[in-house]
Amino acid sequence: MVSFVICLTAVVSAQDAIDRQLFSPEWLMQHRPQLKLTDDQARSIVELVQQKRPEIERGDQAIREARTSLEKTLSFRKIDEPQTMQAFEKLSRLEGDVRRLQFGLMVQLRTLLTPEQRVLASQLKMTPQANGNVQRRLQAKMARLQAELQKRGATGQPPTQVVRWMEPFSQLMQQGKIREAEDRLNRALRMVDLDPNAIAPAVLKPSEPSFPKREIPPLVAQSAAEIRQQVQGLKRQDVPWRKIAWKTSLLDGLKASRDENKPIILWVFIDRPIDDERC
Amino acid sequence: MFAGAAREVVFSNPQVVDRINRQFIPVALKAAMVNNPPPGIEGRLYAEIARSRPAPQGICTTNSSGKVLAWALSFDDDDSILKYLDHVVARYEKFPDDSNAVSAERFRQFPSIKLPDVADQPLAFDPFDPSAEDSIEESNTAQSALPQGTLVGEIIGRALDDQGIPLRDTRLQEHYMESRVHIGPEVQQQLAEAVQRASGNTLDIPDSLVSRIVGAAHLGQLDVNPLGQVPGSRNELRDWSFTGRIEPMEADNRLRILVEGRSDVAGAPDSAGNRTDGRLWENRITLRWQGYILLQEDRILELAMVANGQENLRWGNAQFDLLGDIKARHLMAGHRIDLDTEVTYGLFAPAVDKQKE
Repeated sequence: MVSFVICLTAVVSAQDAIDRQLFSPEWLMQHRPQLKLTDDQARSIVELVQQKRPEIERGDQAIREARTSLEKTLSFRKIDEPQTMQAFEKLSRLEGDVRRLQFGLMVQLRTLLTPEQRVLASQLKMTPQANGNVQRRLQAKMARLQAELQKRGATGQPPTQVVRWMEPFSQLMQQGKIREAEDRLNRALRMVDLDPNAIAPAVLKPSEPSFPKREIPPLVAQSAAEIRQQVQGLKRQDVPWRKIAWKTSLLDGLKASRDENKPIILWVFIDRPIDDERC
Repeated sequence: MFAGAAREVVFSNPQVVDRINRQFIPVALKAAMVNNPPPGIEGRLYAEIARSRPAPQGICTTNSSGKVLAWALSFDDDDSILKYLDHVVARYEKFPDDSNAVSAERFRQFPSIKLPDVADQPLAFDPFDPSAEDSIEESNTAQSALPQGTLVGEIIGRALDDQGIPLRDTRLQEHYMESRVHIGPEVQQQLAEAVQRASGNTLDIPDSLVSRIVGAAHLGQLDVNPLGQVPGSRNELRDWSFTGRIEPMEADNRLRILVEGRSDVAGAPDSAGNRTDGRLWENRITLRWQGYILLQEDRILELAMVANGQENLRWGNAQFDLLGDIKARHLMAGHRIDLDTEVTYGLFAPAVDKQKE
């Protein structure tokens, strides 16, 4: 695994030639000032993304469900090989479909740029900072994979299949096949139940946080009663979301639904909107 | 962020609130319970709901038999939220219970981005059968269990205007927050041990207790926790000092500890962990604290703290430029926050015998 990490440094010198000519919508908007994108161009980018987004979202959802289905077939005590392979092929096909959609979107985005902007964008992608972003992204993914593999190894689940899957990774990187290498890395992450899209370095974080250090005035010494009163004075009873009388038992809700002949609306989030930790 | 945004954009909209109160039975469930259903009838109902979920969190509607009518993760615009409610009411009229099969509709964004329906499956149990394994009265799985002796307090946070007065707005979490704070028995025990070790009548308040207090004192959604206590976040600065002065009280071996402290903490996204989904944020909170703790042996009977200070909170996402300004469209990513303001916090955990344990 160490060799995978070392060879990530090859990214800088081996930027994929195709990748250099295609630009994601997020990347274009981030580089809007450098590329001197006009308002019309920015609007066209947003419109194109919004037009394509439903299809890509549906594709992503289908991939998630196909992955769940594949996981399920693999969890059976007796594996049904044809069924498992069918599930794998379905997942691969869906992943290909989404990649095709994303590729098509980037081709269309390219047509929105002037020839000068295309050249400039390709050059920008070749800057050390841009390459550094790719490198940081791959390093972040690799670090996450390594951590997961070590964790599984320590709990008696040696991830031999994943390690075997990653064997060609170094060679792909050395050959400059960055996209293929990243696809392989993404697949490896999925094999250990991690979402590669949820792993990215914080490239957008400002390098210089703007936190002024201010002198906070001391609080005035207060009695216990004053402190209690001050705390209670901060609370507002008329907050809008408290105007909904949420029940916290689904069975109670079903009974009320039946009695009052009304549908149930369910809040399904990390914490409840009332009487709970913040959400 | 998803829940906070849903609360702000959907469940604080007066028209939506009115419609829900008139036409729906509102039920709030913890996503963790739905995604990992507990045993029992209620847990089996959660599993039925989870069967069609398009994401681990979201807004769901069901009929009176617990069959999902429609999930929604976001909306085209504010009007679409009301149209979603209309849509559900119409479906309920057609499928009020399990007399007829009903497929679960799923909207990534209502109504424009619809995902495939999930076909109905008959329930293998009747939730209203009195002989079922647990009855409505007995089932209370929605309440999560806390260790016995846990002190449960509430913290309120307010952003202040330039006159030092709390902002009136309570809809946005960067202006107003409420949250439960749990202080477990082991943390209370550590405070009692620190009191035992104290030379004279002063002591350093243990970090375990300070982190419970300081970690809860921030505006914004739970994702911007400055101490890195939430997946996807990491702590960047943790500097605090809390001291107590012990005052024995006459009754029942009680002690009152007068507490003064200062804290300076900051958090940022975890660069290689979970939930790094394009979010960009930073949150630094610098506070001066004052309050008291009533302690009896190894139990905190009451705790009250107030704090004043400064908060810098910024939240963004690379997707914002592409999704436009309609908040209902990007509930999952939240909305932009750029806050640099004075703040005040108050935490009160009343005596145990005044709480429902």
